[in-house]
Amino acid sequence: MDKVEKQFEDFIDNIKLDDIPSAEHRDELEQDLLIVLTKPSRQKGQSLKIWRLLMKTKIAKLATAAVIILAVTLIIPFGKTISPAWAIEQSIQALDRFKAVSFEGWESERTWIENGSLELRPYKSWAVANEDQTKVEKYRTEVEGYLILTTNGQKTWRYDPKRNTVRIEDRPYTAGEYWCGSRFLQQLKEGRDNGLLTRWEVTYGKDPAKGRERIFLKTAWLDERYNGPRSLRLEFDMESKLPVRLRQWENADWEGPATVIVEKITYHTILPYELFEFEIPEGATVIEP
Amino acid sequence: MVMNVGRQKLRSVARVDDEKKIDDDVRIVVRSQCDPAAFVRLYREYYDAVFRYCAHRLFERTTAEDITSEVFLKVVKNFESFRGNEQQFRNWLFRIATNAVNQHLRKTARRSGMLKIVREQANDRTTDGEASSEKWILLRDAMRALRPRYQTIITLRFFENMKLTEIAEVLDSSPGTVRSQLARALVRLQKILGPRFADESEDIKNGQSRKTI
Repeated sequence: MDKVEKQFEDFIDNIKLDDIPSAEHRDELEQDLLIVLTKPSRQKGQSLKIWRLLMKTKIAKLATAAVIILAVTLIIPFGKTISPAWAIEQSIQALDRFKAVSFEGWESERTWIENGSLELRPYKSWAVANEDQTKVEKYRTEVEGYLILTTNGQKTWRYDPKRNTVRIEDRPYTAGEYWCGSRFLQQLKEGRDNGLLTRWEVTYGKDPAKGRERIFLKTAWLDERYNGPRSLRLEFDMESKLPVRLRQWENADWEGPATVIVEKITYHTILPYELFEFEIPEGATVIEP
Repeated sequence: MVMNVGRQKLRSVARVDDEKKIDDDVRIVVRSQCDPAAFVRLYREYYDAVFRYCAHRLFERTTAEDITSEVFLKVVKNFESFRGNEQQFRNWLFRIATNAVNQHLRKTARRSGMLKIVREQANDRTTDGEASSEKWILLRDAMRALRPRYQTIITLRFFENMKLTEIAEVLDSSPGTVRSQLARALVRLQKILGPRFADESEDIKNGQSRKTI
């Protein structure tokens, strides 16, 4: 090593750089990579066949998949009790860090009641916020056997597997929808502070499957302007403070079957763009405006 | 004679071992191409190195994480077409990271040069305001004043401790070229950093303790 090299090495020797990898980011990215590895490329045409977006389809309002339903309802005011160990502000802050999220769960809508019972359908949704996290930029959702709906921010595909038709529109389907992210919790907080929420109960427990510490928030409202009466049960992970599960009922008492069930919420740094594109299945009829 | 045979045997055993290692390395990569779990093992092995490289090039953790994500997503996307052993995989990884970082720096410079500078200055003031951040800022600014290729060589050489031959492989160049580019980059850094560049060595020679920043 020559003198200049040595001098530079000495120069940088004790500089403290912020270069310690974060286990959190490593794990999140690993999850994202696994999605890419196992879904778009390997199961193309399978999993991507069952998506759908809310808002406009017949199934529309179809429990407007967690993301959006929440967005609508959450402009509401709410409740009361605050736990000394957890404050919603912590979760608001934690949620701020993520621009991409995916949900898995079950949802239903009144129009789905068949044979006198409320039918629950499994769904998966992925959403990516725009730069300033005010709107949903990319969105994909699937309700098994019913619909795949995806938008990449410019174009929207709506696939009806029963009719084997794909409707393509040259516009961002979710342009009008705002990103609920931390704003959702912010609105819950405001609802609580304004007294618009009729209930606000925080309890603590453990996730029976993984044994992780959890925070359970139960809240409800009556105001019809916000689709009331509704009740909500949110589960937060104590360590990350992030919401990990959610259920919503169409009454203010958590009674009967929940109409929105989000069993798993996963946060992503990035989601592959292929997820928001749609590959037209063979033989499908394409309907363009 | 006996000694010669012995050496020859040893050499051939060593060659067999080397070949076996290369075969194993290739096998690891091939397995990772069809088995997500194997890929995850490879990912875990290289995540830190890629992140650190990005952090050393960008001097900003969040962006480094974003670029690291971008790198691995590109890897996943193009992995099926990759052919080579683990060493070549590592070089390929750094090549992708280098391109991603350079592209990011170009984009940032184009888009929000002024805004970024203002923001960074604000951050600089709040880091901890002492000699620590001063030296860090000096280094960051000096590095950014270099051509991207020089930044890459300096980072790989001094932060990733790569040999010239390894850097040459990453950059698809010859060790000789890398050596002369490294020398040019250092001269440029020397000019930018001015007296501070040599001071550190003098302090060490004189047995003085350096400030930790």
